[in-house]
Amino acid sequence: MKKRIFALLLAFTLIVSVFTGCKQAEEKSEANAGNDTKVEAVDVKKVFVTPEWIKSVIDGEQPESKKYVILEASWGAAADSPDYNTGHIPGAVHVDIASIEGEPYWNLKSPEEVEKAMLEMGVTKDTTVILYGADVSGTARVAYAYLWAGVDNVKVLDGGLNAWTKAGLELEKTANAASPATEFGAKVPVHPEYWVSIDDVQKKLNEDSNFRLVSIRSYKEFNGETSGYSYIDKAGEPKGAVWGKAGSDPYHMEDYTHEDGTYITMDELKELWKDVEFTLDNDLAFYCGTGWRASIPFLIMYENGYTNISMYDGGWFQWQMNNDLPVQVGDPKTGNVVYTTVGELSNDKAAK
Amino acid sequence: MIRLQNKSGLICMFVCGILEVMAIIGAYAANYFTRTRLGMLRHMVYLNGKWEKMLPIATVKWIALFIVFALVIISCLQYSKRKRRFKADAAVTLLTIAISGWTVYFLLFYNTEMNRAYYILSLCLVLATVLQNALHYCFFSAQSRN
Repeated sequence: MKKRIFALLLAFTLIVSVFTGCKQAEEKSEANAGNDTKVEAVDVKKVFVTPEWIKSVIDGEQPESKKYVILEASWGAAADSPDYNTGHIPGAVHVDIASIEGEPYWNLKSPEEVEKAMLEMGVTKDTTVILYGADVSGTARVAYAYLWAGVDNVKVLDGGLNAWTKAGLELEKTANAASPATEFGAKVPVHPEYWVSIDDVQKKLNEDSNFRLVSIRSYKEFNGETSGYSYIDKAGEPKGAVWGKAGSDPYHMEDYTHEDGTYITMDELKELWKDVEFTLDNDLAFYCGTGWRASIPFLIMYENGYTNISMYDGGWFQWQMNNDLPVQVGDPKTGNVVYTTVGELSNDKAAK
Repeated sequence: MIRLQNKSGLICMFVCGILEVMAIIGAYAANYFTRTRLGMLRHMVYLNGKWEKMLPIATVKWIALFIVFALVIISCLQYSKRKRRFKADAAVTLLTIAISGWTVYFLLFYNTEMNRAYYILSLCLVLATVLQNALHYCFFSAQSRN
């Protein structure tokens, strides 16, 4: 009797272990199948990309794998960048945002200087540049500058490093040096039409009925309550500017980003702009304080094929330096607005 | 009475020393954050422009240099007039000369193009130099009453 019970138990154990083993093997093979799934290629004009796509570039599975650089964009030297030094995407090189913009207006540097800076980073016209950084606006700023200069394929990691680590991808801590290039491959800027000067803006505001100067600033900046910056005393907007929304202050872009740091899509942009004083058919020039925040809507529209877009790089910073320029203080949409000149503005509106 | 005066001399030395260290830390912080924080750099550029409009910078610079020279000469004279010299006297005087020399060098050979925090740094260094000279004076005064 005991022998029969023992035999039955043994048979039962064997059957259970065989089935369990098969199930685990199936699960494993399913998981492997998931890893083997090829990440789809993306269009050259596509800007915001996933961590998985970047990983597939690193792994040599994309056409871009042949010639690419990954750049961690933040202001200052690599040694002073905590975002780079605490762990970065394997192979990434630090790029200083100051390499593409500078004084006196914090506008893009001269074409020669930008070209030199790009070559030092190993960036040429046909190099795929993959950017990421802790500051969504700063990263977008570099992406915009490279597009203006003429890089064909510029990508931004959507969601930054958080998205990368959330996807379970590895980081490295060893600092990487750039491999400088010698020839950019075109005359910089290849796309001068992406950049409009303060003179162009004044002319277009007066003469072009389809032109809209779109302020990508917080509402408090737009209606003249504050300049938003400790280094700008005057508050207001260029006369004729319309509000394109932004975030709570110059350093946050809640309207253009999700909580996880990813950028909004074109559909979400259309929803955001459903009650604004311009349409997607207008000739749109974005601006903000000094050109960082305004780069975000530019990139979203760029990747969706819009060509009626540009950046007024000087922003409010450059505008408020000329006492003769016309200004609006308040929101024209509400009717509560005062039109004056820069010279008449008070000097007590700097952010505390 | 003399002991009390010595005590006040010591307190004065201590206060000058603390303030001097704070001024040097302030200079270091201004230099560090101007180099590493974009907002700080832009604020410095803004302050530079504002001060250049408000103040006759060149005149202020030469006045500051004159004050530093005058103070360091007074300190040297104080040391040379001392009949009995101790090692500590020489050490304090040398430190005073070194800090003053450092300030003079910075004021003369740097500018806002080389260092955007030049004005703030100059202010901190001149303050540190004045305090070091005050410390030197207190140190010698306290000793002379012994």
